[in-house]
Amino acid sequence: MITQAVLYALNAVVTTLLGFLPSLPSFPDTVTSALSTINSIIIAPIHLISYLYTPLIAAFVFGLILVILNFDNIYKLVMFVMHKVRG
Amino acid sequence: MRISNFRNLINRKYDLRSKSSSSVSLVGRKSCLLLALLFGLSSIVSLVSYSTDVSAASAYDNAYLSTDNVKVGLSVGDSGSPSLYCNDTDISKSWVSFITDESNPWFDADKKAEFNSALDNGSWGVSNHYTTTSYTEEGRYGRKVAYVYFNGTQQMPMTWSNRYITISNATVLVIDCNATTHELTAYYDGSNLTRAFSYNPVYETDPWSKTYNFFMNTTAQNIPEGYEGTVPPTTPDIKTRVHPDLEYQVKNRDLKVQYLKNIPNASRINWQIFNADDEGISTGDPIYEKFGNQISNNPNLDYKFEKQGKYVLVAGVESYPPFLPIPPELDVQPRVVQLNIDGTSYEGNTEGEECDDGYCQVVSPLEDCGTYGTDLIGGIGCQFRNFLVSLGIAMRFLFIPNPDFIEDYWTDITEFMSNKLGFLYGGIAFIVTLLTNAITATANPDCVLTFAGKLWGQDFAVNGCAMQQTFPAFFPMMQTLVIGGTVVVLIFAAQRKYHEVLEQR
Repeated sequence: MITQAVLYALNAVVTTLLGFLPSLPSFPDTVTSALSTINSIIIAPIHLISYLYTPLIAAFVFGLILVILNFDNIYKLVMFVMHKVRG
Repeated sequence: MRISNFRNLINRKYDLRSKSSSSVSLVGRKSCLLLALLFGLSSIVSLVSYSTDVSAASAYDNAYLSTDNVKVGLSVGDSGSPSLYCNDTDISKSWVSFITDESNPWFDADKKAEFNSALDNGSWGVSNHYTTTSYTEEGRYGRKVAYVYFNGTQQMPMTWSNRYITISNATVLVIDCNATTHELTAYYDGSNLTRAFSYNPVYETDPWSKTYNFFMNTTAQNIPEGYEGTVPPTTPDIKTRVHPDLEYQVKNRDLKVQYLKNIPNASRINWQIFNADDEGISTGDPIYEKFGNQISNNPNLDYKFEKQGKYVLVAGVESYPPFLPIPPELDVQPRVVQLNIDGTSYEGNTEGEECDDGYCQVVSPLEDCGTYGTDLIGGIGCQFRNFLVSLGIAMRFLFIPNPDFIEDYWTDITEFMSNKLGFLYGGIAFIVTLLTNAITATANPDCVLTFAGKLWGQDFAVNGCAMQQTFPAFFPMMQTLVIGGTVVVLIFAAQRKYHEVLEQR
């Protein structure tokens, strides 16, 4: 109830503020079509990976890849926290 | 018929007196013949009317009266007006489940054990008769009650007389209508009493005084010699009432129902979902219908409600294939479950206490603290848990918006931004669409990934996501290899990365 009220208020503010501005033209169809194609190209492998790995394993593998790629930063963060804890 | 004949005779006698004396002898002979003819006809009519009595081979033949069903509650008074009691309820098939219901306090563990013993290998019987409620100027009012007799052993002898039958050593239960609550009730009516269960000899012609026996299963029937009347059945044709037992989970607007047990193998479940009114009673035609086939190992139901509200789920059962009937000893009835789709998550089981005779009410998230009785600590703990649950419900109501609202809100605001910001919003829309599609793709593994081209001059198109259908034997093997290879590569990459980091230190 409270969240709904906040969202309603936010919507009212945004629409009121933007209401004063003129409407801008949208992308030409060719650009929209190109973006849609790029979208499809990116999504297709995700479909295939989800299909091969099953959604749960795909999410796990994706998370693990993120961890490995950012291992340096994670290691630094862990060491930083441990040093702080030790004083 | 006989009264009109008698009047004719009197009229003729009166007419004879007015005739002249010369014609008396002739008329008298004709009258005698006519009289004899009329008496003969009357006798034949009487014999036909009371053939049942006359055909009795022994004096006991009419003592046992049987009926095909047992009804309790409303009976019609002499004037034809109904008495103000319960609706007439046929308990022919439900009397066992009714009296053994856990909510009946009088049917304690000992009585239940004795009753089960009686059904298994003892003696038991059910009879149906009237009980007079009141006399008025218009006649007599009353209601029907049922008596249940049982004995855990086979020592429940029947004693026959030409007017009535008695049974001995029976525990007697009465299924009656409660005049105050207008609901069926059952109570214990003494033990080891001798019961007369045929008609009362004082009111031999009074149908109200007769007892109609439904079943009487005892080996000690003691049927008198020469008896040719109805023989009490010794193999009762009792059906076991069953409802499909289900387990269900409601998560937001998603419903998952798993069939557990209780329907015959050769049958299928007819799932139906109805809208319900505020009382939880189904209204109108079903909004969804599906057959859950047990043979194809797909008896369950998954359904997503379009909007929040109150609904009723009905799991009907029908024979399948149709030429294989449901076993006659089973009385398979539908299972009805009330559902409250309000954005909360809960789960239920039709074997729970919320279900009564196949009808299950909405599962309450709160515990029944009354069951703790005098256990003060347990009661306080129960109240505390209920408080936390209620607090959670209140918080959810206050802070977690309705999913329908979120969906509509998101659609409205993206449409507004797209119209207003035009190409500036194009980039944001691209990212949003990409994320939405990625989440959908992850949640739904069904995909279409077509590889098309020319091979040896021939056009070809292969769907990369149809490998399971294309290579059903190899796909699981390939999937295992791919997942295993990925795990090995990831472990190798993690190990190498770990060493790299350590070497830098």
